[in-house]
Amino acid sequence: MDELDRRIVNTLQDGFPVCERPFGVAATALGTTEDELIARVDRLLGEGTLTRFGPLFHVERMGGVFTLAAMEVPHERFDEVAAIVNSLPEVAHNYARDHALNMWFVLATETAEDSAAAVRAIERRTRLKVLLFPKAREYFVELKLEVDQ
Amino acid sequence: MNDVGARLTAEIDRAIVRAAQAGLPRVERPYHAVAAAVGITPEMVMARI
Repeated sequence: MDELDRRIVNTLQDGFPVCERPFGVAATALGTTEDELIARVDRLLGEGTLTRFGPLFHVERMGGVFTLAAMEVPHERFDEVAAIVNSLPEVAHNYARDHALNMWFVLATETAEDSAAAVRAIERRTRLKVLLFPKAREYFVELKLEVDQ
Repeated sequence: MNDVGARLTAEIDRAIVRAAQAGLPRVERPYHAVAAAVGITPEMVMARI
């Protein structure tokens, strides 16, 4: 990453213009050209420095549902169960954790019924119990990852 | 907005989210590309985003 890459990552996390040619507008603010900015964002994605470039949607404000779920998976079945869980399009993240509840994932669905159906499908296919952790309150954290010079 | 209008807007929003969730296209007019994928006008995409 050079100096311009770092400024691109740091600046565009604060927001990206919503207009006909947003790369052109952002490029001018960064002191570069539209083509250069598009090429650099493409390269940062290709290298894996960025994993995603785009708007973050607040699914719940649109009537969507996020559900945090956990399972206690026998060690020898972990990979098999992970493959089943990950095969569902509703699963947004899935993490192994060092705890009796060793698999934690998030279900992102359009309705609560879709979420319940996904839980039932996982339980049926894995023959394991899925525990749900409903949200009591949401905090706005404004996650920003600053790249140091 | 009446019920039909609200339902339609919600459906359009979901289509935009589906089209842009994996990321914004790296092209000169990314919102136009999303609009083409959803089948609505670029103005509508920009207004909803």
